Amino acid sequence: MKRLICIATIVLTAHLVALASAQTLRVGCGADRYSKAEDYLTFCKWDPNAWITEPLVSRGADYTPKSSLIERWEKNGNTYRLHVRPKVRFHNGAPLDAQAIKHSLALYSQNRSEFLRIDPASYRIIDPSTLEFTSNQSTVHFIGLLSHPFVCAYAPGTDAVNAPVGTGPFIFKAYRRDRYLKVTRNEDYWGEKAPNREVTFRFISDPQARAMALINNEVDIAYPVDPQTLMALPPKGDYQTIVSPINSYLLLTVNIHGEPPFDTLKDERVRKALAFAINRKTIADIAYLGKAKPAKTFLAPWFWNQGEAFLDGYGFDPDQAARLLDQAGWQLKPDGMRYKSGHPLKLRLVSGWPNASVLKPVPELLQQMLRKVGVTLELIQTDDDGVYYGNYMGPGQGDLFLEKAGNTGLTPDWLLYMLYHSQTPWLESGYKWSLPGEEFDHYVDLIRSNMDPESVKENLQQAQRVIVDKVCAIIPLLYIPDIYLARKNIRFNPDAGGGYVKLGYAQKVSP
Amino acid sequence: MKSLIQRRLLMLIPTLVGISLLGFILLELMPGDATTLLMRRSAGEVTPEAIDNLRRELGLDRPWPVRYLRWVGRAVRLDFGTSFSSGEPVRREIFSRLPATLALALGAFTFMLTVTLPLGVLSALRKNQWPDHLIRVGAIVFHSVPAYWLGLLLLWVFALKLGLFRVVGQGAWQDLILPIVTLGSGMAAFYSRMTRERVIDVLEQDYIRLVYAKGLSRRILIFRHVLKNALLPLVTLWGMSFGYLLGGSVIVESVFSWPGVGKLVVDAILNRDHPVIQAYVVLMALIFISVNLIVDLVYPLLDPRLRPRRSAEAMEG
Repeated sequence: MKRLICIATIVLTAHLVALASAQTLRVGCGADRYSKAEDYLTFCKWDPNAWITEPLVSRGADYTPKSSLIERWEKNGNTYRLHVRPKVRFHNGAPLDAQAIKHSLALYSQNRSEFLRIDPASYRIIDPSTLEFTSNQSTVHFIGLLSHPFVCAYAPGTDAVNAPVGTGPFIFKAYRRDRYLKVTRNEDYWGEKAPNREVTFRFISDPQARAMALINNEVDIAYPVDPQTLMALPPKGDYQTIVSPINSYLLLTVNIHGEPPFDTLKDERVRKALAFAINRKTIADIAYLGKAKPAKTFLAPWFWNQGEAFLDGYGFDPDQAARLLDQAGWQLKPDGMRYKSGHPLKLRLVSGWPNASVLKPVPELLQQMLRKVGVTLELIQTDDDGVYYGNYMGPGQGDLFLEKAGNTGLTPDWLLYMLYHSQTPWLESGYKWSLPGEEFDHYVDLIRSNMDPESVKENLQQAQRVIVDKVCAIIPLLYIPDIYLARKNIRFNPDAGGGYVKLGYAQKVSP
Repeated sequence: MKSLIQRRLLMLIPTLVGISLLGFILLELMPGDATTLLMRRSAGEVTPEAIDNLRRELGLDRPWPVRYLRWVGRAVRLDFGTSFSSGEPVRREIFSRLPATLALALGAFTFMLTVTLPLGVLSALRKNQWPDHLIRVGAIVFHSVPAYWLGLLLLWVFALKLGLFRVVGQGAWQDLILPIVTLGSGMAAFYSRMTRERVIDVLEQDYIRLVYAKGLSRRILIFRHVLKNALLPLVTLWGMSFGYLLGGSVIVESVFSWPGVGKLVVDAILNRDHPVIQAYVVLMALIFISVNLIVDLVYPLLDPRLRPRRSAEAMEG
C-alpha cells in the first residue's frame, strides 16, 4: 500500500510539473534594450512587448485604428473626445477611467520624442469615462497614433518605471536585466485570455545562439531571425519558421542631390538603370529563403488596401538597364565596366539601417548584380549608427544607402513624412539628399489633412508614384515579414508583427 | 616595497585624470551626435525643439571642458551619472555586471595557466617529438581561431549534440565552463608556445646542466629550477593579459549571453552612451594599474635578485 501511494505521488508530481511547464512559454528574444529613463519609458513595451500595458486603441491588420481601451472617439477639429471602455480594470483592481487615461497621456507627454502634442492645459474630464483634449499634431490621423505601444494605460499611483501595472493580458512578475522578464497571465483580462499561465522572455543577444537555444529546447520561440541565421539552420530539426504578414521593407535610398564625387545619381537614367539591374527574386530566395517578396514600393500592398497595380515599379530587366546607361553616356568597355569621359562608373553603397549585420548578404548580392551591367559598387558596411549617419549619410558621402525598416507609425503619412518630406526632422541626418520634391510633398500634405479613406489611398498611391516611378529617389527591393523560429509544437499567429505581436499568445500543442 | 606602493598611489591620480580626459576627448571626436541617435531610436516624431530639450537634459549642450569638470566633480564621489540608454545609474549598471565579467576573466585566466604550464613544459621536454608537434599545431590552431567561431562550435558540440551544457546560461557555475574555455583558449595557445621557448632556453643553460649532473631527479629539476626561471618573464605578461581578458570578453559574453561589462560597453559605444563609456574607461584603467602593481610587488618575491639592496648590503656588512 505504501509503495502504491509513493508511486502515485511520483506520477502525479511528474504530471503536474509537465502540465506547469506546458503552460509556461519561453521566448528567446534579442538583447535587453529596455530603458527605465522617465523620458523614454520602454520597460516591458519595446522590444519585446510583454503586453503588461496596452495601447489605447488597437491596430487593425490594415493599420487603421480599432477600438480597444478607448471604445469610441470623436473629433472636432483638433479636439478629441475619448470614451473609455467600461468594466476594464488594472492589475491592481483600480478601474480604467478618464482620470487614468489622462494620467497615462501625461506620463507619455514626458517622452523625449513625443508625437501626440497634446496641450496639457486642454484636458477636460467630461464624466468618469469621457476625456477631452486638444492636440497640436498636424496630421488628421491622430487616433491612429494612440495605437503605438508607447501610448498605453498605466494605473495611477503605481511605479511605471520598475513594476508597471497595466490592463494587459499579462501581469509583471520578475525582471533581471540582461537575463529575463517573467510575466503571468491576467486571469481577469477583459479581452481574450492568454493560453499560457506564464511567459518568460530570455534575452539572448547573439542570433546564432538564439537559434541554438531553440533547437536545444531551451526556448519555445526565437526571434528576431536574420538572413544569416536562416541560411545556417540545419535542414531538419524540431523547429519551424513562422512568418508574419509583410511588416518591413528593404530599399535603397538614393543620393539624388549629391555633390562630387557622389553626384552620379543625379542622372535619373542611371538611377533607373540600377533599379532595373537588380534581381529582387534572387535576393529574396538567397537572403530570406524565399520568405521575402520582391517589392514595387515600400508600403505593403495591404496597407490601406492600396495594392501594387498603381505602380510601374522596376522588374528585373538588365537589357533596359544597359539601354538607360548607354543613353546616359556610360559606355561599356572590353573590361566589362562602364566609363564616361574616362571615368569608371563607380558607386558607393553604405549599409545600413538598422545595422549592417542584419542586412547581410544583400550588399554582396547587389554588388554582383550591378557588376553585370558594368557598375562597380564599393561597399561600406557598418553596425554603428553614428558612423552611418555621421560619416556617410549625413554629409552625403555615398550614392546608395541600404535600409530595412517598417511602417511602425500608425498613420498613413508616417514614413512618407518622416523620411522624404522636405519638412522631415531628419533632414540633417541625410535624408535631404533623397528628397523627391514639391510634388511628393503636396501629396503627403494632402494625406495629412484628409481623413476620407479613398482620398488617403489615392494620395498615398500618388506619393509613391512620384518617389518610385517618377523621381526614383528610392529603389524598393523587398517586402520582408517578421520571421520567427518556433518548436514544432508551437502554434502562433503573428498577424500583427513587430512590437504589436502578442508573443505570449503562442500555444503549445500536443505532438 | 612600501616606497613602491607609495609612488604608485601618487601616480594613480594623474594617471586616472589623464586617461579620463583622453576618453572624454575621444568621445567628442566620435562621429554621430548622441542626442540625434537617441532620438532616432525613440521611434517617434521629432522636432528641433525636442532634440534641443534632450540635449539640455543630458547636459550635452554645454562645452566639453565644462562637462568634463562636472563629471570629475561627481566621479570623485563615485557618482558616474545616468546611462543615456537605460536610464539607470551608471554605477549600478557597471557594478551589477562586473562580478560576471570578473568570474569569466578569472576563470579564463586559471584555465589558461592550467593548460599553458603542463603543455608548454611537455612540449619543451619532448622537443621535436610527436607530443611537441601535436601541441604546437594545436597552439597555432587555437591561437588562430576567432573566439566567436570557437564559442559557437563549442556550443554546437557540447550543448546541442552532446547535451552536456545549456546554450544560454542561467547563472550556475556549469554555465561558465564553455565561456571560460572559449575566452582562455587563444591565450593558452599563445602562452604554451612562449612557455615552451622559455623552458627550452633555460634547459640549455649551464647551471641546469650542472644541477642535472649533480644527480637531482628530473622532477625536482623541472619544478624547482627550470620552471621558476622560465616563467619569471611571463609573469608580467600574464598580468597584462588579465586586463585584456576583462576587455576582450565582449564577444564571449555576447555568444553565451553572459551578462557582463564587456557587452554593456560595446552597446554603450554604439549608442554613444557617454556616461557608461567614461566610467568604463576609468574602471579599466584602475584595474590595469592595480594588476600591474600586484605584478610588480610579486616579482621580487619570485626573483631574489630584485629584492631590496638593503638586505644584501646588510649581509655583506
